[in-house]
Amino acid sequence: MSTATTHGHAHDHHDDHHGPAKGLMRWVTTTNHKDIGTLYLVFALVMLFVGGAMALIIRLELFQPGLQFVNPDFFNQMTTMHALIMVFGMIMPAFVGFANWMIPMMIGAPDMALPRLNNWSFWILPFASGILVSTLFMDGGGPAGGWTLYPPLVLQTGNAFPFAIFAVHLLGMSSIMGAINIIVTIMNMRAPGMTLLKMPLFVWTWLITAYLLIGAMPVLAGGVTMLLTDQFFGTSFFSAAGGGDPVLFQHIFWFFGHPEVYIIILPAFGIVSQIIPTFSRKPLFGYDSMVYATASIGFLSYIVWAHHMFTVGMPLAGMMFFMLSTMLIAIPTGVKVFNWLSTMWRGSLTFETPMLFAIGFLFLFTIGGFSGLMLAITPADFQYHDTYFVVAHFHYVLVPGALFGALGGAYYWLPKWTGHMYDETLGKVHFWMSAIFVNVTFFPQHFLGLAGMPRRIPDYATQFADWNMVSSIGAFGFGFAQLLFVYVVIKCVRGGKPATAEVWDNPEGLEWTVPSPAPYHTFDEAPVIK
Amino acid sequence: MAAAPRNPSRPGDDDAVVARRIRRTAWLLGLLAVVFYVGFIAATALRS
Amino acid sequence: MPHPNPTTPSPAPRRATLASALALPALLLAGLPARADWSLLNMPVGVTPVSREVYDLHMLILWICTIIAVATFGAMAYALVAFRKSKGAVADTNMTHSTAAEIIWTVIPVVILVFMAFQAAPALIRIEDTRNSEMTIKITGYQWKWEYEYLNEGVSLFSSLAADSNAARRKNAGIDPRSVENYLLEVDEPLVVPAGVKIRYLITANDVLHAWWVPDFAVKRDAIPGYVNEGWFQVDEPGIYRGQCAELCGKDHGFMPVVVKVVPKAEFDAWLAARKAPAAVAAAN
Repeated sequence: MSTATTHGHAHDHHDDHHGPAKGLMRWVTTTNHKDIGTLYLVFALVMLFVGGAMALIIRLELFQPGLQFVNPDFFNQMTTMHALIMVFGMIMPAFVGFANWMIPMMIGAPDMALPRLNNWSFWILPFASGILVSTLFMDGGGPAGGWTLYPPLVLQTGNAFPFAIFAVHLLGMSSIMGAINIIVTIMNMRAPGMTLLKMPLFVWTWLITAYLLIGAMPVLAGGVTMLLTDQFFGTSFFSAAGGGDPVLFQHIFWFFGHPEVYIIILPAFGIVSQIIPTFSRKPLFGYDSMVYATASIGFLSYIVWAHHMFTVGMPLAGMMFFMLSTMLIAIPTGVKVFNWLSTMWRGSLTFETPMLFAIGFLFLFTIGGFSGLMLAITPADFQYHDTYFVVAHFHYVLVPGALFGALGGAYYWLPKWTGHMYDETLGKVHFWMSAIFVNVTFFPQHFLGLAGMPRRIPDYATQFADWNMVSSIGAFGFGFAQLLFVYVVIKCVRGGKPATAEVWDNPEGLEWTVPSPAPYHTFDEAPVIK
Repeated sequence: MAAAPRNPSRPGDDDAVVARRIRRTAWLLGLLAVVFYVGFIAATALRS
Repeated sequence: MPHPNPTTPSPAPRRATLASALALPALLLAGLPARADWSLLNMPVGVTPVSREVYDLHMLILWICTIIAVATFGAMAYALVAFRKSKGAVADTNMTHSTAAEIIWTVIPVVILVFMAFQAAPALIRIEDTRNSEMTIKITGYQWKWEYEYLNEGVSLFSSLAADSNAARRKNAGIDPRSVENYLLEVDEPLVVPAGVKIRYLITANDVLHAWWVPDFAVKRDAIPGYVNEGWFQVDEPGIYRGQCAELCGKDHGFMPVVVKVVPKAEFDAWLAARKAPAAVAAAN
């Protein structure tokens, strides 16, 4: 791990330092990693509410049996768009925002390696997401075949089809460009003495994530391109009638889709690995094994994809292979959980909001890990597959997993970004509301799935009514709790107790050696790493 | 606005060397992405 | 836990009130749902050899996970209580790594996983063994109904959502779903199969993907256009068993239930002969 001499304080009086441009154009033309990080984070926060509103429409309709509010087709559009927006518009941009803000400051670089590419990566996003959301208003409605875009159903989409494909292409391009930028920054811009195994774990997890992105996103792009040519140019990649193979799309999709799962969760692992040592007042336990575990997860993510497809009718040997490879993922994941636990062991713990989110992550992500292990068992998966048990599983890893990681990271670095301390009491209220309601929302979904409720249905048999009602109440509670987060952030940006450079009690890392708020340019002169 | 000044990650390399290395790595990674994209389409075309 | 006999209709759930809606989260947190009906909390044991095997595997892994969870969460909870700065805990900053510990928490999970694999793999082999079946049924998924074809018998039938469910499921239909018996889980014509017979099914689809699922059989298999998948089930207990389409197939995905009526062999033969008679008459004309 890195130890820096504290000489970054007197950084902002060089002649070549200029502040940001004024007005709107500052944000449009900016090549500054901090500005772009802010843009990403604000964008992700907006999309959290767009995707969240769709989730609440889903839960509203499912509050009671019978159809009260929306038609089945619109319901399917909501499930599809909720997933696409939360994955590509919210959680991935949020973590790229963290990467932009923190990676240069953590490795002692003055900026990202490719600042103008960085500007492009961000500004593609609002347009791509705008196109995606606009499909809801097109003739025939938005895509309604599920975010997995399985043919032949997805080919029944109306006018929205090419626009949705185009939006996915753009979102993928943005991710790939962001990933290239992050890799070259980490590979070439580290301060002298910052060897790979001294990098903070957040930088490590992002390095591996970026490689996963470059491996996975082109595969998705290829898959949706073939959907496009099947629809409009007479090819039949996935059409059985023309000699194609609809199952092949599923293989392609999940060859992207499973690494995507780790693209989403690894940066959260990184953030949690920064937070827990700080509030345990102890270095991260087993740093090296954490790095190797992350790399193993990255590798394994490419050889497990067909566990999403056990019911398509694979050869027995295929099912065996994917069952065993999937079970293997439990090992590096377990190593990480035990290392976090050991970091807290014999520490000196305090429970500020970032730490609360990290602990919430530790408990609840682990529950998602257990249900993941259950899903790996192929015979049992025949029952779990495409039920609410799966919905519960992946929401446990995505919401109290990835999203709690992002929220914890936001509280952790907000004082560094704004120069003010956030309101600790409100932050804790936000945490407890989130932690309680996320369980009220998603825990009953395990029961629903086991009792036989399929996923992606707008209406259900009456025996599922009670737990659906509980789940819907939890969802609205969780949604409103996030409004409190917006209030805390705005309040913190506007003012509050001034933050010191260190912010927390002797935290480790270069970002704490620069003043709070971090000056517009940091580390023009490389810091010295001992 | 000019690109931000760059740090040499290896002591002794000057900015021009680092800049060249950055450009080379970035193009290489971009090429890799394009190869994956085209490769997967080609592989699917052969398979179906 | 005994699964309620699927032939007897379950008692109509009482009408939920706002009060019970608000009380439920509190009860959930207390760990006790309002009505502790285990069939609404856990996987059904089911009525086929496969479903019992799957249920046993499910419970085994659930217990293993529960034991690991108790140990892990217990250690976490202990750490959160014992090592608080407010209680005077001082950080032991020399505790940074331990190769022994890393080996232990790598090897123990490996052992557990190997044990699990040895439980799951033979079960999977038995589930996939469709040999020695006595009859074959071809299932075809359509948007949004099922077709069942008794191969070599010349009998086939379509099975779609029952009329009363179909009326009640319209948006703002004004019909309380709770007043409809087996709401969304009833069809006009069920699949009829004999009890005690190993039945092989072939499954495909005519338009988009579907998946044929009966929880009590632990059977879920995708119906894919251009593909013919196969599987099997054998039900010894006559009864009516219900399931649903499990793969998103468009706007009425939630409205294409699967109902299987298992009857004694003699009754099935009579039913099949009766189905054949009109078909034979139609063919003669």
